[in-house]
Amino acid sequence: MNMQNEMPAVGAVKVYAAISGVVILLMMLFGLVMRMTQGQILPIEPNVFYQLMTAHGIGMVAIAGLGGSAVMWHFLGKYVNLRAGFAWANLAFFLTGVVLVLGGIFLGGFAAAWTFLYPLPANGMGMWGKHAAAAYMGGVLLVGVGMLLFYLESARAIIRKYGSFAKALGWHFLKSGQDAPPATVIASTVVTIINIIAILIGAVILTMMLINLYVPEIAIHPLLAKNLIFLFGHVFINSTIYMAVIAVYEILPKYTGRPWNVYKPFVWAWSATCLMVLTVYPHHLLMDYAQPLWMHIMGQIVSYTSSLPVLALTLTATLGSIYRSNIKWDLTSALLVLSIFGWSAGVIPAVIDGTIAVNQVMHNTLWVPGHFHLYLLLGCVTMILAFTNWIANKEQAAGFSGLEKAMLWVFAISAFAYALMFLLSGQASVPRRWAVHLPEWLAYSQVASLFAAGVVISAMAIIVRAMGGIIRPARQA
Amino acid sequence: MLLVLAIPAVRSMMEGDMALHMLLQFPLLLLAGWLLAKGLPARARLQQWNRAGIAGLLMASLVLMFWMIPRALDMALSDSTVELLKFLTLLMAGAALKLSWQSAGLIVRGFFLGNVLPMMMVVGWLYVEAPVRICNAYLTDDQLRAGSGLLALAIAGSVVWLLAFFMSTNQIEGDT
Repeated sequence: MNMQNEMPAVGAVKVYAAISGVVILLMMLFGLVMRMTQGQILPIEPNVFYQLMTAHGIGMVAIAGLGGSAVMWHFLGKYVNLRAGFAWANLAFFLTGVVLVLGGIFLGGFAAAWTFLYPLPANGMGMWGKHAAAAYMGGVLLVGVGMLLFYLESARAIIRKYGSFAKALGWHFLKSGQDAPPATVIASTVVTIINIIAILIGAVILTMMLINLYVPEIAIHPLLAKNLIFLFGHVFINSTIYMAVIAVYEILPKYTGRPWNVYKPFVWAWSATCLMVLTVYPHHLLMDYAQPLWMHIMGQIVSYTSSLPVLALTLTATLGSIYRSNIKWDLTSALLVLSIFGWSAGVIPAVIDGTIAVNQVMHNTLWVPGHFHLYLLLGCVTMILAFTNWIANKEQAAGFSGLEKAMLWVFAISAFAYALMFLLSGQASVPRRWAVHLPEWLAYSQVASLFAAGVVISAMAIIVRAMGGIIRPARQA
Repeated sequence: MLLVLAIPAVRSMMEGDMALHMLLQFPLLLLAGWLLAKGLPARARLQQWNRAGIAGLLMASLVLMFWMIPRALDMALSDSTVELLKFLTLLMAGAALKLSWQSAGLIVRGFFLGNVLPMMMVVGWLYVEAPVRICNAYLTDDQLRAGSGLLALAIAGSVVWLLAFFMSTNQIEGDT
């Protein structure tokens, strides 16, 4: 049941990885420009800042999704029979959606942040019109349609091979202790379940908001809208790291020589995560006093527990598999281990912010971007970079040159320090989503810009090198 | 079943209430169409036009979409020709569902449900939140009940669909 089909990275995965690398780099540049603007190093107009912020937010969510999908598709395809046509269809919807989103932002001026919180998209106050908002939301809807196809194909292939989601999640293994599915299949099943739910909810709220855009008399309950948006958005962005972590499960054993075995706690952890990822989002609504109290309490409790089962097991297993393993270090293995650190460290500020008493004063500060930059930049993006590097090296361990070591350290230190500057800014009560900062806050942004430049330069070196490896065989052929 | 549904007294009883009209009469007509198609012999030529059940499920979703429009409901109540068309199209949609469901496979079914269920949720929300009566034939309370019912049905349908993934089966009939 668990036999792997060893096959090289196929076309769709390479294209996904290449697009992910390029877009990640572009989004990093947007981030650098925004921090330089806040530090008054660059004279960018506030309306352009908010457009960049919107593009950076939705761009990172989308590309983390695409990069994570590449990892999942590639490794899940070793266990089940996936059909490439669906990966290409997803990409076609994705690119069409991106064109609409970018048109809405940079041609139409839409700048309501990636969360498109109701009723802001319909109230551009002269900065953008309803067609720009419609292009943005329609684009997100199209990306969702592509992703739905992608996950339906994953569901079909998983069920065809394993019989049901229950078996693919390993529930039979909990009883019998026999025939555990591979870690990749368990993780992919969880992501498939949560993202099918999230995408359908996203489709509902996006359609509701599109109707409201053109028929404003039909209003949406703002709290319902916020709940639906965060249920969709938070689950989707959470799922990106659960897809990307498959790279750790699949690639790290090649370096340590120790297989990533599935034990009962691993199965429990992923099944628990499946439920908790769907119920953790209310920690983004702790400041909404009209939200029912039980949801606040649930938000806090699940914030404490949500990431821990899978993270704790992955972290422990990673350390255990490295310890005295004579691991061969190269850029891929180093990035993978770094990503586990980023994921682990990134959870800590989230748990702190998930505490209601802290959330009341910290949630609208730069503390929250501090959390998700640690989590995504040093966690998810680093996993995607490791995967990109892995397929660029034809899925083999490679040498570790001095330049690569230098770039890795610059990336690790810059990314950590960059996220730390957000956390320190949050601790100093610097608000988030503000284009113009007070003089007392400028130093934070200026220092952060320095580290952002370090991230961009090192990531560029890593990505350009990987792109060369991905593109070269195609050019030769 | 079709004859019972067509009896004027039964028809007016069901159509007198918006929730019964949409949430009872429509599903029963779909069921009648399904049962009619079940009794028909398999037609290979028909299946040529319905590869992987795509055409059938597309037709069913378009029919359902049309009959969720308030104006269409009003027209069915005021014009007997439209009423007849409603019966016919819903029967055909039910038959199309029967003829397509088996061959559709998980993905086409998923795409169909992924379209129809959110559509029902959005229409349910529209009926609940609309600031005015959107059907001439029904009062606001009717509209509210129908909207809430559509929402409940869509949520229940989503849960059932999700649970079906957990049912142990190695049989995915179609590959699409």
